[in-house]
Amino acid sequence: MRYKSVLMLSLGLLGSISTTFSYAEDEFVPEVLTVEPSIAPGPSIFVLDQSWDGASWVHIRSAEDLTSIKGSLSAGVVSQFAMSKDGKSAYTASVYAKRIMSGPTESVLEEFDAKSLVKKREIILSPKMAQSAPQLSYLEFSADGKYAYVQNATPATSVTVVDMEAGEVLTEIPHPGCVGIYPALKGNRFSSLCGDGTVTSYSFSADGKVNNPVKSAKVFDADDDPVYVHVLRVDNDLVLTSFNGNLYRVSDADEKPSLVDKFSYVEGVEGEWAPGGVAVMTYNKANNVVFMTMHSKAYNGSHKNGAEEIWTISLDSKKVVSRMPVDIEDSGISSLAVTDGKDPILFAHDSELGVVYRFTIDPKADFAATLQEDIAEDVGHYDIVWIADK
Amino acid sequence: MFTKLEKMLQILDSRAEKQARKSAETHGRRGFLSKVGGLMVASALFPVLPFDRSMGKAYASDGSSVFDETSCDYWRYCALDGTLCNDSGGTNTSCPPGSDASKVAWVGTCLNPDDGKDYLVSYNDCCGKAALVGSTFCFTSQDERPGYRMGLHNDINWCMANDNKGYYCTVALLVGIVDE
Repeated sequence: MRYKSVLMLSLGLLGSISTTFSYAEDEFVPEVLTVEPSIAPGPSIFVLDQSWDGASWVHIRSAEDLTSIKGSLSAGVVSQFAMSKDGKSAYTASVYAKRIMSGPTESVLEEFDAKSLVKKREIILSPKMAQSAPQLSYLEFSADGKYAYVQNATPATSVTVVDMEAGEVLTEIPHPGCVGIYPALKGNRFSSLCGDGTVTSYSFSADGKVNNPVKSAKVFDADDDPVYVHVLRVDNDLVLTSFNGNLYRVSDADEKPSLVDKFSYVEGVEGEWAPGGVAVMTYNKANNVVFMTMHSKAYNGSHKNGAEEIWTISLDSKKVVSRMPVDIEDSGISSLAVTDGKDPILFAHDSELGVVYRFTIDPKADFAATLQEDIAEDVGHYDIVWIADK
Repeated sequence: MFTKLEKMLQILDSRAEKQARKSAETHGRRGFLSKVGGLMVASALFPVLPFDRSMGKAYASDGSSVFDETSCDYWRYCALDGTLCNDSGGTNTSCPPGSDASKVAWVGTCLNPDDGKDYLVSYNDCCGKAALVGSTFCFTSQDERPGYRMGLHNDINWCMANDNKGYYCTVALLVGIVDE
């Protein structure tokens, strides 16, 4: 045993000397520090991971394998996130306090190149900016991209309008009792949801003059059938869902919004099903379907519960065409985002586990969903998902 | 339920918000005790249910978590989305030392199984420090509404009106009883 050990040691030393000589014979080339010029190619998802006591993150992952980390953005506390319509720019609107948790605050809109992830500029916002859990409707852009809209709350609500060409705040539009920003398809106009059950539109001129708001007739009942502020754009309409499983279709084509259609997608379904979460629904244009996070045995206060199933609702037939059970232990899927194409890819954020899932949807097989094994881990719990290449 | 909600909102507009603000401005606890002291006397005069009349400050005889202040099932936390101050150095009615009580708050209406009454609960945030790792996070939303009913909304930082806006934790003060 002892002889064997000596032999092994000798062979090891010989090997080391030989290796040293071979290194010495090669010319040493010092490594050069660089910065990656852009994120890795291929489709990406941007996942806002909101922090309330430090920097918020935006995780950029491969939209294919979800595990490839392409990079990140950093923002202040309680950040919101959006991308430009051409996908070339990414935006955060967040709050910086002088001593992080105390002292004067500064709300900032930061613009990043979506490929290089380099910050291009920042615009100081009103300190009234709402410090809210993630909401896509709290940071929006006008149809032509000339204006950014940012939700404020003091708790009185208003909207800051930012002139993106001038790079400065243009005006502030009060919308007391209302919240959410849903840009019209053209013009300097957006709608909001109001506590009196109306959808109200607000407009302004290029010099910042604010016009009188125009209210719809009552659309929903904030007591009996409250709607989420997460709203979908479907062609010329805004699509709202209530806590109770009613889908409202509201036209904002004219200055005065109007209710176009309303139907229940839970009526006749046993189990007291209802939507739950944050970004509770997402729209696939090619198949004209909405995917919805659903839970059973709904009760007063369950409207943020994670999904037990994801339902597919056809806007053509106004029927549920598919129900996909979420068979993941301890899961709490609360937000969805889907691609636009004929064969949709559905991304789902799990606020309990802090991960993002990827499902391939087969419309030819009754919208059967296949969960990809690889998931995006460690992306946080207060999130929304943005698909960069829909 | 929604009739009660409407009543609660009326109360909030006329009386309870002032109470909540006053309580917050005076660090809550004293104001709370003086008001609830009156409620406790009233409860003692009109016994309703065979429970310990301690406003949930002790366990009911069955040990249910609905009377456990450290549990998110505690009855007055019915619309509390946040971390508890009572395991962060404060109590249900006081912010931890060195923090600031929020000047504004959202409200819930919670049924106290002890006396069968619906109480108006002011959920004030405590501000100016970071939430503690390991503090109890509760996530309940009975009668909660989006920001278009801001006074019932719990997905926003209610330190928003304070000089120091960092979110620390949340207290749950009883500020009124919803009229039958």
